[in-house]
Amino acid sequence: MDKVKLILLQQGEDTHPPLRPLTERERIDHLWTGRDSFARRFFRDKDFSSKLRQAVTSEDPAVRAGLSGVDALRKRLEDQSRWPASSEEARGLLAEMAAHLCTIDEKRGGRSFKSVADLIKMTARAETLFTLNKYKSVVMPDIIKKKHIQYMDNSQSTTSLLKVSSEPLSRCSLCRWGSPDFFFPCSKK
Amino acid sequence: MLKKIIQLQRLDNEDFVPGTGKKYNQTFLWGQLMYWFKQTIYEPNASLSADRRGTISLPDLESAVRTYPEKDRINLRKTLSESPQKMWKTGTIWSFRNPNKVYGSPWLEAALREPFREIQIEKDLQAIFS
Repeated sequence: MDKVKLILLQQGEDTHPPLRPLTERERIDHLWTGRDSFARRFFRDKDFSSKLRQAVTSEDPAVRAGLSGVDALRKRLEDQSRWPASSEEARGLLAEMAAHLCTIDEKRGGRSFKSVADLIKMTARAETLFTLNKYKSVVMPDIIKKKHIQYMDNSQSTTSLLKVSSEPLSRCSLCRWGSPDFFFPCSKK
Repeated sequence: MLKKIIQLQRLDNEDFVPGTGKKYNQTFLWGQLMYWFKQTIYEPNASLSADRRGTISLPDLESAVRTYPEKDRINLRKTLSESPQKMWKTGTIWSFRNPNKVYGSPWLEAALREPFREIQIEKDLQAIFS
C-alpha cells in the first residue's frame, strides 16, 4: 500500500481510481459510432472487405442475403441519423453482423469469418466496459550517497560478490598462447 | 514526502547515481492493487498485462483475419468452459494490443453477476461458439 500511496501523492489533486466504467456515450462510441469503433475497424479492414468481395460470386440466396445484411449495416454506420441510441442497440447490431457472417460462412462451406464472428459475438455480450484512468508516470530518483558506495567498495560482501580471489593465480605456459585467460572469470584458477 | 524532497535538494550532484530510478508507469497502480499478495513482484503491470489476455481484454479485431484452425477454436472453448479466469494461451491467432484500452468480456460479466460463486458461462459459450 505504500507504493500505491507513493504514486497517488505524485498525482496532485487528480487522484481517481485506476479504472472507471465507460459512460453510455463512450460505450456506443466504442462499439459503433467512434472513429476507431469496433464496427468501423471491421468495415475499413482491407482483408475483411476482400473476403466479403470473394463471397459476392456466390449464387446461394442465403449467402446473398447475408451479404446484403452486412452491407445494410455498413450503410447504417455511415448514416448518422440511424446511429444507435443506446449501447444495447449497438450490441444488437454487432450480434446481427455476426449472424450474417456466420450465414455466409455456413452456406459457402468456408471458415473465412469464423474467428471474427466469434469475436463480434464476445464483444456484443460484454455489457460492462471500463477503461484506465491515466496517471502521471513517476520516476523515483534512487539516491546512493558516495559514502555508501565507498562502504560497499571496501566491504567484504562486495569482494565476495565479485568473487575476487586473494590468492595469486597460478598459470601454466599454455595460458600465454593467445591469452585465453582473459575469457575466464576472475575467480577461476 | 516534502521532507524527503527538501533532503534531496540539499544533496550535491555528486551524491546521485543516474539511471537507477525505478519508473512507475500509468498502469502500475492497477497492477499493484491486483497483485498486493505478491510483495516481491518488480513490475506488477507486466504480470497484469499477461493475465488480462482474454479474461478481461478481448482480442484485437485485426487479429481475427488470420486463418483460424478448428482445433484452436475447440481448445479455446474447452479452456473457457473449464477455467474462464485463466489467461488465453499464447501461440494462437489472437493478439491483445487493445489500442482503445477498453476492457470487458462475457466472462467478466458473469463474474460480476455472481461475484461469490463459480463463473457460469455455459450459455454464453453456446451462443458464441454455435
